Amino acid sequence: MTHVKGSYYRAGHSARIAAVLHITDTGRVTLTADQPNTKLDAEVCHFNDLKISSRLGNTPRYIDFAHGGNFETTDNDAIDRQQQTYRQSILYRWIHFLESHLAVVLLLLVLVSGFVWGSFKYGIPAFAQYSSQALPAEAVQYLGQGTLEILDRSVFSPSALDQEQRLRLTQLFQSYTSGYPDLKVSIDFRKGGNIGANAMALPDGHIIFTDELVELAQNDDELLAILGHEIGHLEQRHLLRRVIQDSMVTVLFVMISGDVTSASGVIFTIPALLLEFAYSREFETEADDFAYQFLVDHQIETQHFANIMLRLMDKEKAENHRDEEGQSDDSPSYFSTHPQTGQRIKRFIKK
Amino acid sequence: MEQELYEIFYLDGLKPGVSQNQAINQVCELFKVSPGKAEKMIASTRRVVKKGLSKRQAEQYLVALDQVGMQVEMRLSASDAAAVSAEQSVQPVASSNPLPESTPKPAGKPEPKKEVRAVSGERILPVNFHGQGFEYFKIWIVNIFLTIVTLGIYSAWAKVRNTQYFYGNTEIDGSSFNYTAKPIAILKGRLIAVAFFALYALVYQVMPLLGLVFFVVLMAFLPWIVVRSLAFNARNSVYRNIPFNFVGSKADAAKTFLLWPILILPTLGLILPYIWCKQRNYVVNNSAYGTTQFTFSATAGDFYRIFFVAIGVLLLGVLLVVIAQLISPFLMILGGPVFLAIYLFMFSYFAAALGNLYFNSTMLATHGFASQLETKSIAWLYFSNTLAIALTIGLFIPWAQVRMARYRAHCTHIHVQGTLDEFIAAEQKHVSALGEQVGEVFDMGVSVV
Repeated sequence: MTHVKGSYYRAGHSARIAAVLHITDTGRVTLTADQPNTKLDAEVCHFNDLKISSRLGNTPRYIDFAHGGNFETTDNDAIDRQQQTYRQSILYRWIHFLESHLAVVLLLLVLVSGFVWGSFKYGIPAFAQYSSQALPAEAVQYLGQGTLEILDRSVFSPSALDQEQRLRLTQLFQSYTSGYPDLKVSIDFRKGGNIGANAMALPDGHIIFTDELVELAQNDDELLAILGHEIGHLEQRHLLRRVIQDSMVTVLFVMISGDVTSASGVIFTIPALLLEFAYSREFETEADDFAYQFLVDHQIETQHFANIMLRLMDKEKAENHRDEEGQSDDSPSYFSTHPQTGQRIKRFIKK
Repeated sequence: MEQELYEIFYLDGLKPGVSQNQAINQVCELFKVSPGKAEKMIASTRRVVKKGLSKRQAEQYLVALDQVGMQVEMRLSASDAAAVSAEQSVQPVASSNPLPESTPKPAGKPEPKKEVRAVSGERILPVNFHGQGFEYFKIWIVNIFLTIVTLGIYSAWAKVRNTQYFYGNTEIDGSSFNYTAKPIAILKGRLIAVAFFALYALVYQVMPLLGLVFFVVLMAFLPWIVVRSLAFNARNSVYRNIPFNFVGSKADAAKTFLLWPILILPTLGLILPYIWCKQRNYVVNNSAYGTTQFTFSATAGDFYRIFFVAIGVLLLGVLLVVIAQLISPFLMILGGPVFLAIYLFMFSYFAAALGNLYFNSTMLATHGFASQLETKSIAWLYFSNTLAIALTIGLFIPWAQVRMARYRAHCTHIHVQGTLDEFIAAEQKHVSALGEQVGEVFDMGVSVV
């Protein structure tokens, strides 16, 4: 015979009745009110007929009777003992076992941390690479449509280079890009304005050189090195992969926190941003790899890549120096979309 | 203070594990009464057993009866409590414990709040939260693990367990809340919502225009989503075997959540407080506990006051930062942190003031609510929680949630007229979880009382 103290509520009424649940050794359940002459609507029944909420920490248990009455008790241990004898909800007993053992929790903590780290480091990039290759080239090009128009309106202004030079460079570059017909490359020149000396590749095949970059270059081979890097971005579908990876990060955050609304909260934006930077740095390294192979294949000195990168860095430094003090080259790379120049050019420098 | 009188209130009978016979014997000795009388005394629960005591006498009784094993409480006698409770209801937090959530309790377990008896018939009941950070952490990490292992399917069970942890640990007058949603219902809703969202995202990426059509379709469903979401949440929230209920109409939801917001842009957002008031009115006035309706009495003016104070603080902050930068470039370095602090303050003020307004303007028949959230406490909670979460790469999240829930409960009281015994359940209709989940995926959190 087991006695469980608690509160009883009749079906559909909020009046609390202090009561005791009696369970005999054969599982017969009766209910008595502490106060004599209190009417209870609970009938005698068997323990197996009760619907008992699962154990969750030390929160009270709610025991539903078939006719709608409800018994609330904090005597979790007594209920657990009865459940072991009569009816076991294997699933919830197992879950409670996990939730209540420190060693298990620590083990799960390690597993979860490992899984999360592994997915961000390897899982998501691998998935994005695989699925981006599965999409047809047209889908990728569609993604970038209209981007150049937006950039023209917001960032760029028309190129001020003379017509002749633009034509010459375009023809030179095209003789190299003709090896990648799938990418539908078209070469464009713009005045960079705020973004200064730079080059970028849009997924629809536009590769844009800014006037400032062309002026910075001391010879065509340096520009070809940059071209190789940009073709690398296109060939490896970096923009598409970035879109896929960013949405995967969101999905994973949501899955972990079990909460959709907080994914937009400030707590998740900072790690998401850091991850995006990390992914971006990986893409840059990949594009550099491509550029290296590109230069070797076309028998161009790899040193040219290092030369123009160094000059870009010097120019940037000089400009930063004018703007604000204390911005050093070795600022932490976590907050940067590109790896540090020193690391990038190492292998391009002639031994 | 000398003439304050106390009484001893006998709660729910004997403590668990105390045998009736033993208790009877002890009561006989203690009060020098016959076993029959002692038995009667122990049997009749929820009543005043001794009154007209001084504070010292009452404390002695409390200790003695507690040793017998009776669950007893010490209260101010009715006539005295009126004055004290009025005093208490103004600022219980500030007077007793200025930063309750920041200073760890030496004894480990927080002292339970005691209810206060006020003017005849009115009792002021505390809302107690019994959750513990570490206990919740264990549940939380298991939830994440099982969610990963089951490729997200367990997330529905995780949601129910997380919610139930906070419901079950929230206790008013000896009864706690029960979240009765079925995980399977939530899973179905989640699957449909995620499928719809994935389709929407895909269509939007490839053809923005068709994505717009999707958005319009979603907007057309919005009233339905709002109603379903509120109803699902309400009907699965149970207190004392009585579920909450939501009976709002889709037409009214369309007006308050679709039509009014159209005016936000033309009015440069100045209509926002008015819309908040409308929406809160819709939610509360259509909510019920059993068959008893909630009523909401705040006016648009109340919302405007909070809105303008917050905007004023923000503008003042911007002005200060700008002036500081004009005076000295050295102060420029301080600009960022100072602005962040002002933003945090504004945000916390919003949370505290709106939270208080919501509760203080809500009635359940003749029962009222009182909330005394403080901006500085909320700001400290936000600040310390965010910092701790960042430093622990997210592991502090369960503690952060428990701290916030504990503080909110601590600041909330219920003014009960008579008893909470007279509520009656409404007839139940089954509500699917789809509405709630669609709403959640598209980030349109709607909350009930």
